[in-house]
Amino acid sequence: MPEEPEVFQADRGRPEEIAEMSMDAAAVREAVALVPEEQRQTIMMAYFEGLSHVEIAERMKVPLGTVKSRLRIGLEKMREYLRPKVLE
Amino acid sequence: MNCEQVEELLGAYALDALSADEMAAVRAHLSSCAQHAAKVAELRTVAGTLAESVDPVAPPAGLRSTIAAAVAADAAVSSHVAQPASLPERRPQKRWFAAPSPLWGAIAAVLVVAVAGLLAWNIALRADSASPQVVTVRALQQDTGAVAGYAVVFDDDTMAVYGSALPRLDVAQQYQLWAVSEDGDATSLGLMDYNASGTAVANVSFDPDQTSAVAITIEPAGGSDQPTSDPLYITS
Repeated sequence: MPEEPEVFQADRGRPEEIAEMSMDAAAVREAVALVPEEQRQTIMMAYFEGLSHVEIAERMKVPLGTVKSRLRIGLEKMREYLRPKVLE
Repeated sequence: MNCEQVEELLGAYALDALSADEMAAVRAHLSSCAQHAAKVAELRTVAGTLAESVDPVAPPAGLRSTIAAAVAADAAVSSHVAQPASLPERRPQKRWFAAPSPLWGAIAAVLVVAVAGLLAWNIALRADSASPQVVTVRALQQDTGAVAGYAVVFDDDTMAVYGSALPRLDVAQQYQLWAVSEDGDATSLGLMDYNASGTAVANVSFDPDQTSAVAITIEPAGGSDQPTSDPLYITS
């Protein structure tokens, strides 16, 4: 992932929560497994390959709106699964 | 941008996948919308666990056999050298692979994590304690730095190649893997085929002493005995 300018740091997520959730890697994998394939692949391209939504849309040959929806819904699904386990 | 429009962008925002303008617009909204600001923090926290949730040093046991099984199940991957193709044959280009780009170090550090993530995400892992161990993970990159996928090298001199970003080819063509020696000679490692989700994959044996880089070319279906096109992607 490219370095972000400092202005992004404020909403970068919570390091201590990330650490805590990561300790329960199994839960994260379970959460990932619950996300439908196309959403998972979209998140993967954004996160691990650092692609923009435009690049992902081109590569997957789907409309931009679809990419945005997949990223949002996929992450929300993971959040719903992880929240009772670790987020709270 | 209104609240509803921003809502739709939050996932992409949390993954830094928007354009600079959109990022700025969402950020401006967040300063006045506590609900969305809280949600972004949560989504970013979730996203932040992704890289951390996989261990790049010690991949799950059974990874290789799982990949092999996935490959075998989805496609009959040819690991033998096919007959020469009908296209005019060219001499293999000597030293066709460029030196690793200066970006390599930085990219590699990310990719070791990334590939573990990719594999963990895409493959239903099974326990298999007797399986070979991962030696290294290499990115398949163009000289522009664009990454097409990953090669996972195992200690039994095999590698699983996962072309996560390789575009699907016409049926008349196939991706072919080559081991490139120090002298620049190319030896076919086999052809790539597509798994159920359309990703080009291969699981091949190679001779580490004769391999200083691995290249991918596009060849006529069935493969060639020497590369007939410039390599698209190289890992060294």
